Amino acid sequence: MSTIPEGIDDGKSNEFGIADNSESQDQRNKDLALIESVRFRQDFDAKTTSKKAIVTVPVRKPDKKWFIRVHPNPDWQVELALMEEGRDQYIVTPAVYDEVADVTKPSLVYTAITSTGNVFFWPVNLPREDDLQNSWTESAQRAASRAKEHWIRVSPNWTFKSYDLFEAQGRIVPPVWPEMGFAGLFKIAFAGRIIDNRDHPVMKRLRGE
Amino acid sequence: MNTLSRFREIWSVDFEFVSTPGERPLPVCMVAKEVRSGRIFKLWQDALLSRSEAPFSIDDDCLFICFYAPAEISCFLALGWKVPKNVLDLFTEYRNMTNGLYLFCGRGLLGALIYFGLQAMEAVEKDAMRDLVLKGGPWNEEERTAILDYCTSDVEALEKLLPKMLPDIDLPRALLRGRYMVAVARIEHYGVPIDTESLFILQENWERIQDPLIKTVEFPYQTFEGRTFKRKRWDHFLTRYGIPWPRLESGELDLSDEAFRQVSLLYPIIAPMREVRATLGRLRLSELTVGKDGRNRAMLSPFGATTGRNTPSSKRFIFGPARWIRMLIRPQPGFGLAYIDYCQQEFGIAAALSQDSSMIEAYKSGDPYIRFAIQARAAPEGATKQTHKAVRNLYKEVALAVNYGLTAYGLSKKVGKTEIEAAELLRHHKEVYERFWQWSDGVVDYGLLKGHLYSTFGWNRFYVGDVNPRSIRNFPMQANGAEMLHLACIFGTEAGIRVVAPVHDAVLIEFPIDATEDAVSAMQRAMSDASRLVLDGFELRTEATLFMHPDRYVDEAGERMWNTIWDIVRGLDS
Repeated sequence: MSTIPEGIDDGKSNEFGIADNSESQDQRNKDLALIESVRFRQDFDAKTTSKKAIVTVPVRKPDKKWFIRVHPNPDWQVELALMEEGRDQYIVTPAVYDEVADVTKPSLVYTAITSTGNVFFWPVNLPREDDLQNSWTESAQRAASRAKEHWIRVSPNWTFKSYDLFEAQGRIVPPVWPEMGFAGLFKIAFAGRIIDNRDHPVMKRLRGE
Repeated sequence: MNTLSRFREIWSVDFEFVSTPGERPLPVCMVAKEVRSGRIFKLWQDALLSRSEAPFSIDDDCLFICFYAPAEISCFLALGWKVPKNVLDLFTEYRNMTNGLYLFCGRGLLGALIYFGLQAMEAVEKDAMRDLVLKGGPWNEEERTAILDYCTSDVEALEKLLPKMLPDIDLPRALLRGRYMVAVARIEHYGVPIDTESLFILQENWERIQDPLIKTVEFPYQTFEGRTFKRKRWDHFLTRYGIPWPRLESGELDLSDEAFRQVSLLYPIIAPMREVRATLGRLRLSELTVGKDGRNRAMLSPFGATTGRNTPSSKRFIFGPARWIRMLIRPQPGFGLAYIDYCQQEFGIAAALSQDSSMIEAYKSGDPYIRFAIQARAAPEGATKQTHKAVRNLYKEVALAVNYGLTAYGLSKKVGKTEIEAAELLRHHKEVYERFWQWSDGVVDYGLLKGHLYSTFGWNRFYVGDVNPRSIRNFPMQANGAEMLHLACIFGTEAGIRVVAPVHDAVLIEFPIDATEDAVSAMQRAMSDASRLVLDGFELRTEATLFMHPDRYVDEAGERMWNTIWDIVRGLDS
């Protein structure tokens, strides 16, 4: 068992014959072309893809830990009268505005996106006629304007009663806005949250009914 | 059988042979049957040895069918016969049809027969016949008949299996896999040249080496009690040196070799301890299978991993145990060795397959990891491996980790950063390589939705039951890395280059010293061709390290341990 019978390769022979003549080169090219012709593409993303579906669009102030951008197009912002009810923001239409003006805030609502790709509406209060100098509102407006071109983070400064603004250093990718556009986002954000008549449950509650 | 109509003859072949660890096989008998005509050859050892070639045609218009081709082809090579042009290995194809599925009867021939609803020989009967062959003879007439009948039954089993499997066999790619199996047979046939004199000295003194070895490397760790590694003492050492360490879910230190490997990348002080642990823990020098011709041969187990990579024995294969053991590799007089590896193979594959222009730019820069750090603005333009070593190592870990879909938590453990810092690093990767992420997410979607992925040359991976998206994400890099090395080995061996070992993303080749340049450049060209084929024209760089007799193979990571051990050996009897 341990001796190698005659005729068996003893491992001492050399079979080095590195081919490099033109004939073998031609054969080699044919072989490479043949193999190339049976190659499967690996574009799995083109064959089956999933896309993140947007099912909620919060209406809120940005968290102080978020870096955000604001959509620079004025078509992606809107002036609204908003009423805060619980955790939700309701649109108050002119039909009922006068009745609830004291609990309603005129706001400029911006479309914003976080650095991790989450879209939200950022309502920034507009100054009232009787509220000539509100440092919270002014600093928030300044931040929103700045966020149209830069990644920023806003954090409340209670000493100065305004928002501090931090600009990201070294961020390199532009935001990717959802394809559905402003109207689509708006529908999701305010579905069922429009107060347009006196019989709306929120109106009834405010009247104590 | 229409798929096979282009073949004039289809030969179903099986050898019985004696296999001694480290040696080439010794053929005992062969049965070959032509599937259409029923012509059959039954040759006993003496008849085989008297032939200079196979008794049937192995030309381009004939097909050779077998189950686990390296076994049959290694017999061809041992007999000095030319090898068949077209090999259809039903083992590989069965493996490819079921990769990722639970096989209740295993990957062998019996398992395949049962899987396809065919009658199979009893496993006990098969084992008994195998034992009879392996006893190595001499065999009496009755035993010879029994062995030949057994060999014939395997050939007939292949005949039955073929029509069952054929509808699902993707022939052009199956034949390519067959070519790789032939390459594997050649590689195993050559074997890796070993400095047997040194191996003998180490084997003889191994018991006496271990205690002094612990003493030598114990400072600064102070971790061993006798030959036992003490977890608590290791914890103290880490605390003393302020080294963060991965932990298990239980909170205990993760003492796996992988944990040592990862931390040693960032903290080189860990590396010697990793080698000592591997040396003391796993190493059985006697299990390294070295033939009488001084060459290490071990089954490479091609397509053993779900990714299609080889899974050679970690004990028997010279590239398996601790790194310093590799320094036993030494070219024979008049010969040289070259270790040729793909540079940053996984990164390059990810760049090319995803077509991420920033990633491609990073790969083409020559040092993708420092380029990634620069692209992420973690290092200034002009930074190099030398000027920003720590940052580069960190970004290298991130680049490799994302291929595995590592989470911020996982990455934080790996690189010794907080979870928030790790999340930031991952964010850098996502921002810099946005297209890669789009593609990679597509891979995961496809794998989850279809329950199936495949490589460029059709290596399948099925996903059933509880699927891990991370393994799906990583599959294209691993499976196509495997395809690349398969092609490189095919091209190399078929061009007459003596490839003696495939090593993950590298090959070790052997050549006469006066043919060094030809051999190395031919192998590098084979590897370039392979990368272009797998990556649709994108070429990966290769790097060659040469070792000429009388020098031995040097492994950077194992050299220190090698020297330490030989210092001990020299001091044993003084």
